[in-house]
This record gives sequence, C-alpha cells and structure tokens, in this order.
Amino acid sequence: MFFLKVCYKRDIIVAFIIILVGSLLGIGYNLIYSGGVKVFARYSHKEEILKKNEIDFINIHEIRIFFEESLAQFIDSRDEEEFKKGHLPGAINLPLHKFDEYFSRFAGKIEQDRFLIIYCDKGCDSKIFVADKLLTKGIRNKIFLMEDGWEELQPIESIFFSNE
Amino acid sequence: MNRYTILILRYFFSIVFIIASVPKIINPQKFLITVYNYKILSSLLLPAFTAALPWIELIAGVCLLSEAFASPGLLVIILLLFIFVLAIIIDIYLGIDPYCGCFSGSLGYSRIGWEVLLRDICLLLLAIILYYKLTSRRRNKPNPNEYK
Repeated sequence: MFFLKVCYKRDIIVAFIIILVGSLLGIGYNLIYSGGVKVFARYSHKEEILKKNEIDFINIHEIRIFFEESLAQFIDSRDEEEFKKGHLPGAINLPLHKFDEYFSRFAGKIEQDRFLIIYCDKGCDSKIFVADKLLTKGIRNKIFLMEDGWEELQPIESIFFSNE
Repeated sequence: MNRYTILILRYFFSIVFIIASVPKIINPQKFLITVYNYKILSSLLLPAFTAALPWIELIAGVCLLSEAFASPGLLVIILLLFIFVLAIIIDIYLGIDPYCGCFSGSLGYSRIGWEVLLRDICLLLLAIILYYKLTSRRRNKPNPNEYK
C-alpha cells in the first residue's frame, strides 16, 4: 500500500494500459496463431482425465518385466531437449506441446498388442495429457502411466540391466 | 545512483524481459504446460494468463527503452516480479518444484527453489529501487500542472 502511495497516478494509468494492450495482443495472437493456446477453452484437469479414461499407474518395480519381455512401448512426454539428454531405451518422444507434429510420425509404429507406458519428469502431468490425446486420436492400446519420474529412473542400468 | 547506472539498469531490465518473452511468444503451448505445472491457476484462467503474460513482458521491456514510458514499464515489471515471487513461495510451501520456465535454454530448465526465489527477490528489490530513482527527479521538482 505504501508503495502504491508513492507511485504517480500517471504511471499507474499507463501501467494499466500496458497490461491491457499486452493482454489483448496476447489473446489476439493466440487466436490467430495455429500453434497458440486455446484462450477461451477450459483446460481439463488431470483428475477429470483420469476419471473419464481407464488409465492405470505403474511403478518403477513393475515396469522391468514389460521391458524385458518387450511387452510395452515406452513413451517419453518430456521436451525434445530433455529427451536428447537421456531417455529409456527404445522410448519414443511425444512432447505434449508438439503432440500433433510428433504423433503423425509415431502413429504408424504403434503395435496394437503392446502396452503403452508413458513417463515424464518427477511430479509432471504431461503424461496424463499425452495419454488423453492418444485416446482421443483413437489409440486403443492399454495405457499405463509411470508413477515415478525420469529422475527416479536414474541410473537406468540399475533398473533394467541389473542381474537381481 | 548516477544517471548512467540508472540507464544501465533500465536497459538491463528491458533486455531481460524482452529475452524472456520471446520464446514464450514463439511457443505458447510449451509455456502453457510450464504454467500449468505450477498448479496455482484455475483451468479457466490458465490459457488467458499464458496468452497475455509474454506480451505484457515484451511491451513492458520495450517501454523501459524509452525515457517517457520507463517508469510505468518498470511498474509493470515490479508487478510481474511480485507475482513470480508469490508463485514460487506458494510452490515451495506446497512442495512442488516445476521447471521455472523463466527463460529459454538451460536457464528455463532450472527447477524453482530457493535459488530462483532469491534471484527474483533481488530483481524485485532492484526494480523498486530503480523506480524510486527514476521518479526522484519528479518528487524533488514537483510540477503543479503535471500528474494531477
């Protein structure tokens, strides 16, 4: 409040105009730009997606059998940059923000009898949205979401290649 | 703080906010996911906030380049920094550590935490000091016909 008292009236008015113009430009740009966000859409929350779809969770100990028996296709929903730094062996990159672009490359490679296991970072939700988008695109494979994030999968060797 | 320091700081804030806004404008979907991961905004506010924020950053940054609009531009930047600090404090309190998303490249891939909070608090304090300095001339020499 004290700070507002020492601000000039003219500065506050112009600052308000900057915010207004910025907001209008941003909303207008996103309405026109094909890669923009749907400004007036209500984005589903993860709870709604999980409730409407039959998506199950799987943990770090359960995925080993899927990996060894090649029963599953792993999908990495992180960014391309993070994917390049490291990913599960054989995983396909399907970043949420470029879903349509990557899905077109990936769609033909999905074998119908394989499970899909989607993972991302610790605490991230992009895997849930990618699962939702896959189901919307007509994918009928059973989908599992990794409870653990990429960080917990480190080092990969200890999970997938140990002799225990 | 002499006029050259003020000028350098003005350009510093301007460049920081312009650089921060560009990748968010180019890739709004990615920014939407970043903001979503903060888990603060409701699903109704999320898209509009994501669409507007980078453009507000850009315009505020450009305003800082001009003498006439520097102080209102800086007010907007103070408001934005205050929102960022508040968001980081809430997420630290809730135990959520999303990617900062502040910049592109490696800086954008740092997770929020005490370091990012400290950086933003320092920037906020610096911006407030700069605002006082920018407007001090007006305070010292008030023009009765101006700013009524």
